[in-house]
Amino acid sequence: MNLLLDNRQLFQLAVLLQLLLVPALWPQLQLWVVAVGGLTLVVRGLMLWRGWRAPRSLWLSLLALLGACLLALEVRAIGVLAALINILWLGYSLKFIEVRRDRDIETVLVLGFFLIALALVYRQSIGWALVMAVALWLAVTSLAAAVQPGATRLWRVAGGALLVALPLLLTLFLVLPRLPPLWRMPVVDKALSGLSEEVSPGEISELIRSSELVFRASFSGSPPAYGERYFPVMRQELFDGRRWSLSPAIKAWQERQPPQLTPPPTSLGALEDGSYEVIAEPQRHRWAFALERPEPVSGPVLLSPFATLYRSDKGDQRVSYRVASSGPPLIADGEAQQLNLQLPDAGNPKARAYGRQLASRYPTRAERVTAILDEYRQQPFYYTLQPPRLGEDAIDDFLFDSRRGFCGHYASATAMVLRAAGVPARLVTGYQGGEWNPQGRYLAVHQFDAHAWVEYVDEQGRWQPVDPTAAVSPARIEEGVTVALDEEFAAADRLALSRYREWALLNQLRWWGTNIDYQWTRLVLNYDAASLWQQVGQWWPTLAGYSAWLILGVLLVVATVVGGLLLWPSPQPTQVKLWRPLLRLAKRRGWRPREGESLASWCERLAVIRPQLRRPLQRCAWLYRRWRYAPLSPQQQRRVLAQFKRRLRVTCRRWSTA
Amino acid sequence: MSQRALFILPTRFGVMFAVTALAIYILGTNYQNNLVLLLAYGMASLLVASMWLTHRNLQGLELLGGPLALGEVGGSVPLTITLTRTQPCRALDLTLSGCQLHLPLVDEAPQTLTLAVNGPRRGRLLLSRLRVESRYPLGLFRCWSLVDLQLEAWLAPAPRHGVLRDSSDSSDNGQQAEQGRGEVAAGMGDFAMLRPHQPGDPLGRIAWKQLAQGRGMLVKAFSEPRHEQTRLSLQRAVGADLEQRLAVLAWWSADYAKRGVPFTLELSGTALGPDTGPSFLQRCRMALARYGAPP
Repeated sequence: MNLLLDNRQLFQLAVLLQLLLVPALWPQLQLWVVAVGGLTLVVRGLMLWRGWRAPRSLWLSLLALLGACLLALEVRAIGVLAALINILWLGYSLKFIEVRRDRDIETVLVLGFFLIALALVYRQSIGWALVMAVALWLAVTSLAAAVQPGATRLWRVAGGALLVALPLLLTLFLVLPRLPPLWRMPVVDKALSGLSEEVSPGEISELIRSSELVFRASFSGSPPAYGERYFPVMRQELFDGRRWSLSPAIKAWQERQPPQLTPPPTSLGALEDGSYEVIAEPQRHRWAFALERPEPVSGPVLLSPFATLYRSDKGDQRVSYRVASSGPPLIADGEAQQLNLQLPDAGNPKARAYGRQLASRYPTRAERVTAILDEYRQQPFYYTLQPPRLGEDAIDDFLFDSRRGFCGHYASATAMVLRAAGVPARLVTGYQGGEWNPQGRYLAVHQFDAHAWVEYVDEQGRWQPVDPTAAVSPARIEEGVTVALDEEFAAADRLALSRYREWALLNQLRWWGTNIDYQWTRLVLNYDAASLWQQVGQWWPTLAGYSAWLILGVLLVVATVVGGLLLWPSPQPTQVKLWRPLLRLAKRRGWRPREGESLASWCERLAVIRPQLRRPLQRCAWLYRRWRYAPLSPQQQRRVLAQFKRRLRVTCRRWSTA
Repeated sequence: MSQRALFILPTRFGVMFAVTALAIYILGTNYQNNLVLLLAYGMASLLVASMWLTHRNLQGLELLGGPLALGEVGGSVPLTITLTRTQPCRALDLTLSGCQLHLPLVDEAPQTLTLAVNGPRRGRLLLSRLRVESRYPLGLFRCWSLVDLQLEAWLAPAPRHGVLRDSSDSSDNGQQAEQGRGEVAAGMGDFAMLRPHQPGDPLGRIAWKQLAQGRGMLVKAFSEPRHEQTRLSLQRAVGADLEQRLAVLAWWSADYAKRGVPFTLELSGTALGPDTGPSFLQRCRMALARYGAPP
């Protein structure tokens, strides 16, 4: 009844499990912790195979204490969650040497499961999920090894148990809604990137060097044309001569939006006409992504006062939401116009003079804007990711001296000159472009699609977008930054695959891979049964209040079906079941087996009754007897059984055709 | 074994596993991480599946108690049990009155095993019910059944050498005279003659030397002057108490049986024999074991 403490199988399984877990937990695991783990494995192996004595428990306790102290010192540097992982790993390794009682083995087995869970906190891609599924299988196999020491083919026992568990697992996943977080957990310290709320000309170029995914969008109809794929995220209205930042009104509004614990779920089913679904990766801010004039349909997003989306949850998880492009046009009231004419008291004198000059030369605002854009087109302005450093009066330096920059420089300069020319203008930061995946039919937007452009107020008081970068480098807008800055970009981009965009086959492969990832994210990682129940409530309003009972009912039904199939005593023994097809055929003619007649002799009797099938029937009887009674090895037995089944099938076919 | 006779409860490890699944569920909820939740659901489903599989493993197991078993005080009684099951059934633990046995596999072929139960006292051995338990496949649940197989075990007294009193006072000398063949005698008696072999003579008394010399199958016969010596009864045994006297009787019965001397055992008014040989000894031991027990 006791678990065998001296279990070599268990050791081998644990080694395999660790081999999978170390890379999965790698960046969090400290090198020395892994080294201690490896050492304990070696010692344990020597104990099992070479008969080494277990080290004194005093030494192990000292080692554990030392490890805990070292980790306590490191907590600040590596974060609470990583420290937890390290301490668990240390305990897991040390416990592995000190298996004295059943309970020790049990602790080791259970810790394996917990470490898999911790690895999944960090790794969620489909590949890692598969690796962790294998790890789960190994962990279950080690449970089986603890019960049946020395047995062979335990992985099949474990696989069988997992297979039996699968229907219930899928049902649980499909019907149980995610509960809101019960308490705050230590943050998964991933350095999140994303647009910043303050923009100075250099910042966007850092983003452009990152090929991290920002969001993916799928549309109800065809996607917008490349030049129309503007996704504004923030609108900066304060300018201090160098930096653009959010207005105090917006900041106050942001502070009035505490993260909701239970954000509304995203609806399921087909997209409504004219809407689109966005799956947004966590960013360092809570702003969300949408085309111009968004109108939230469902999901954890709010409409901000300047017509962009803001996440209503904490913002540290990937979310999906649905949006329609049906919002009202942006209107600037007098106060907003006043705010957007604000300029610092001093600085950038040349740019101011240029603005005043425009104002005196062109009466309408649209003309002043066109004049600036013409200036960019006619003068030797360049679009580059490596602009020279700018001095104190950055905009003057840029406009009249270096004339090299990227979207941030152009937008910033344009907005400032427009303000100087008496046109209310502001900076818009967001994303532009993205890559259409024809296989998954979705648009993937990466950090390198980050963009900045300008909005000004026309005479009717409407905000009008202007993209000065389009004037300098039309390719940036029409084909994307990767094309516009081909060489510069390829040198900066570390993602090797995207360097070979022009290779058709590789492109297909890349799309295929990213599409699998997209579907995995959409269908598995972002699934929440709450939206299923919301949908059910919409279809059958009478059921709306009873989702808890429905969940319970569905679970019970699945459990009863699976459990019933497993536990229902089978009316016939296996040997009889094998004969079932022939029995059915013969019963139609009334040739049932007699009382006390064995199935093999019944079959031989049939051979006499039906002489045209004499040989196959006799062969069946012979094979059956051989399978049941001949002294065969298990492999031979399996082979004979397979032969018998095949022969019986063929015989039955001939019986029914004859 | 029918469904109703099976009990099932999680083991301590099963409880630990469930607590871990709950902890992982909380972790998944707090991080709103579907994969961690999926793992927690998987562990919960595995727990339920393991309950079904453990139950199924014992379901339909057929147990058959063996015949009455006889052992000696201080030794063990070999009790036989036969197990069969149409589908293979794994990792069984059988416990009967303190005796444990692990059985890795039971399948279609009936498997007979012997459980050696120790008994401290002469007489009928009080047996608890047979406990059949299994934790297959994952050790999360323990399914067991307490089966009453109507097993019967008796403990005969352990043989102990002791002196026998003379049976001079025995009144039935005449009956003694009638008994069996005159020449049969205790091995310790004097060698008397060789006589032709008759079926049923013990092998130990065949004159092998003569057989080798080609003089045919002859049997050594011993003269036993005092026939009444082979009549064993409680009165003749010397001992401090009943148990000791029974032990002395057991020793003498075993001794006679080993030597092939026919003897009679008289206990509580009934006489067994005269006869000899292992099966008769077994009857005598049974009678000694049952002595004093209600019929």
